[in-house]
Amino acid sequence: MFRTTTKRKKRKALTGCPEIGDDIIFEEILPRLPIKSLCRFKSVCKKWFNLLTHDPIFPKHHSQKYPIGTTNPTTFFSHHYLNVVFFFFDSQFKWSTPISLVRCLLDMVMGSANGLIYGRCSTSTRLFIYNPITKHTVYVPYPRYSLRFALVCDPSNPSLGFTMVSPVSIREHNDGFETLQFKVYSSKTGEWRVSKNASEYKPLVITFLSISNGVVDWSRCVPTKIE
Amino acid sequence: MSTKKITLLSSDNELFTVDEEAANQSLTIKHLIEDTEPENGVPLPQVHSKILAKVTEYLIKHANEPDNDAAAKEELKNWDDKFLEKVNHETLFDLILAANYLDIKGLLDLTCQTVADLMNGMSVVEVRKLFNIVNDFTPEDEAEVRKRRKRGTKTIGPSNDQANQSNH
Repeated sequence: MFRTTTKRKKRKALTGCPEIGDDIIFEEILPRLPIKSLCRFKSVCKKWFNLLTHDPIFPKHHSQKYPIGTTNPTTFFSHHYLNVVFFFFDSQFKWSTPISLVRCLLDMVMGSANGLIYGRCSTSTRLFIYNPITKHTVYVPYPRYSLRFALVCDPSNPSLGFTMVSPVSIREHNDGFETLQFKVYSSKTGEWRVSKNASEYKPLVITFLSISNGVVDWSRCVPTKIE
Repeated sequence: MSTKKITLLSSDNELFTVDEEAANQSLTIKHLIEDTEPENGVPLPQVHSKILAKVTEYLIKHANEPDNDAAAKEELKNWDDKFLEKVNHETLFDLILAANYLDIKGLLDLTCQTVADLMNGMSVVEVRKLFNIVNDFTPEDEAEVRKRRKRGTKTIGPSNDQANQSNH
């Protein structure tokens, strides 16, 4: 009946806890922490550092254990050299990150390359390129007739800036194929131009196109890096 | 209205009796009963009576989880909060190990979330202490990480370090 016994040993020293295995820590506890705390805890030890910066499975655990505002969150994950950046957006593609890494953008996110996020602004006919580390945004004018974009960054030479590539459909064929032309934007010139390099393949007949991390894949050609 | 009773035997030979329905929340216990049909209680040599008392308290409370009753759910949640309120770190870690070993998902979620909430307010040093982790970074490593973080605030593109390390 008397509950006094539990109160006596209320606070005990932090030390002397039993060892709980790495599996539990990495799969059950760390994924429940917000990103801000995870960034801090990278410096706990080397093992944690590697897990939080290089482990490809951790973001998946994190998106399951730390869902934000939605029943089906998508983890958006990218490497920026030693900084791992986690982003979440819900099914409406609205940012729902609770931390200051990203300001609330109602813009449409299209992808990421080398830690930079790019997408279409909701309020104007511009594209944005956002650096979540520096919270710096650069805007690029929207090329005509373009629907798809890829950001290309050469990590070996960042002084070159960035390049955006946009395949533009110039003709659609009856069988679902399309002939494409590539428009390329360079941060150095600040202009969109039709790529001479890519136009060597012209006219491109493409059945399937995917662009990620600066590599453009299409089904009829060998995956090619446009640079 | 008689439900089958299950007896659990802790590492220090203390007996705990719970309804089968409550015990079945632990998949380990459920499988042990199905496979071995123990007569003198289910032996749990990895769990001390002090911890098993807490675990059975949880199992009994969660035996009939409400499905649609919002008020009952709320009550259960409040009970969960209270359940771990006065628990020290050592017991909390023992509970995690027990929940993991006994395969009780609800209890594992609850205890791990509690640890995560604790960690949220902690410094790196406190976290190391909590998990008995030795800082294996050299002072040079730490300085390097700090330097990178600082430089990262100035560049918009990928860090210059990548250029220096790449052979392209």
